[in-house]
Amino acid sequence: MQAWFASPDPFIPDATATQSYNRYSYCINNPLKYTDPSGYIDKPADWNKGNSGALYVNPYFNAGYTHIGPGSGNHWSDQYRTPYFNFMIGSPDGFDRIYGIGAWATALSVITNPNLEWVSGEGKKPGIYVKEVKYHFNGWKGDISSGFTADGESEVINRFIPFFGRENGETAAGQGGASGDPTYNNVNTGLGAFSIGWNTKGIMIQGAVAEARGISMAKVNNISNIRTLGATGAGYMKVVKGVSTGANLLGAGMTIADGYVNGFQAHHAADLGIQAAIYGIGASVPVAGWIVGGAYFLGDMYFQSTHNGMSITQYYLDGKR
Amino acid sequence: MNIYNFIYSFFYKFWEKRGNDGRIVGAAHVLFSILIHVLLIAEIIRDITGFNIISLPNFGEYGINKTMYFFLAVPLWIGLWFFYTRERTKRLLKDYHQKYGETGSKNTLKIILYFVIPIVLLITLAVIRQRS
Repeated sequence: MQAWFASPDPFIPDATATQSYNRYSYCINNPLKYTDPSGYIDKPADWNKGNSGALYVNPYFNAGYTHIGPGSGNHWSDQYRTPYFNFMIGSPDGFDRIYGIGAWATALSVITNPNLEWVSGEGKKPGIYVKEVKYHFNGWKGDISSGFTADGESEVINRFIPFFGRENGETAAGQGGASGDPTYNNVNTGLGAFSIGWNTKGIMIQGAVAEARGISMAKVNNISNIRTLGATGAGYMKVVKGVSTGANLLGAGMTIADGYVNGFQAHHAADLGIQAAIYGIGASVPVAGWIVGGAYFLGDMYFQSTHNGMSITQYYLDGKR
Repeated sequence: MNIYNFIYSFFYKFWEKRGNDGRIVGAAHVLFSILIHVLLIAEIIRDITGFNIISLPNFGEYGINKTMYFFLAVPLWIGLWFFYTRERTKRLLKDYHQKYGETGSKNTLKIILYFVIPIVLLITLAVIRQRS
């Protein structure tokens, strides 16, 4: 007996296996050995025999996955924080857009749990799935990249933040409760701060995939380097943000001090308003606060140097001299 | 826990959650609140007695004043940052949790009382004095 699908698969499970390119075949024409409940990836027939539980939470098969999805509130944090948490993410709706997430999740699970024991009917690591999705991961690279560079506004990053840890730990919209994995928080904030986030993440994911496949220890070794780099970058970033926020606050204090000395005028009120706004932005929008604050500070300093020591607000609100 | 340690702990937690270095920002909040409290006391004394106990230097223009005051404040800021060591922060946060818990509204009200009202009061009193 040989089962065939009536329509082609939307993706190729294994770029290195010629059977994968037959997009109408069922389980690489070996239905006795494999099953394909999802219709996308062939799995060993006895995939669910084992004790790790990893496969039970595979989004393609887990009975509990139906209510999990982007924007579904606490369900993200309630369920993905397991040793195999990344498998929990998925949605039956628009499945063709979800498998890419599964791919990333799979890869990241390997990083998160380097000692994870995978269950497979063939005695192989289910890294075979990782291998398969690596191909798709590459196919998704453009989307994901734009998501990460959009500062969390795009649909893509909202979906992906849970895997990498949320920006600054807990600010991802629509997801309450637990913060993300600290490692990926570090990578997000640290590397993002030094403009190498996306590229390094790409290496990290590829390293993870390589680790899962056991084909490139060099890339796997990169992972720890990247983690260190991410943690260091995140540390610097925290300091930069802290200094910026503190300086903005103290700037407000200095404005009040000048008002005490020389009398409060319109420009004092304007500057306090600006400083309060920058403070609020810093508290609610990651990164933007210190960028706006820093830009205003430098701009004001430059303005003073060219306008006889008058600040921007003073110059425009209390007369040009 | 005195009010400055309370302010420090509150804002440490507030800004750490937002990815900022809580010690640096917390120290800045403490310095800011000390400045406001001192100026408020000085303003009240000035209003009552007419005597100005704080004679801040005047460097001329507002912008220059602001900048110079800021640079004068930096050593104090660094000093407070050194003062609030990691160990001290750990201890303060422990105290904070024990005494004030995690509930936000009460602590926020306290912050408004310690931090925001003095600012409003100071500016209001100063403006009234300067206009009269």
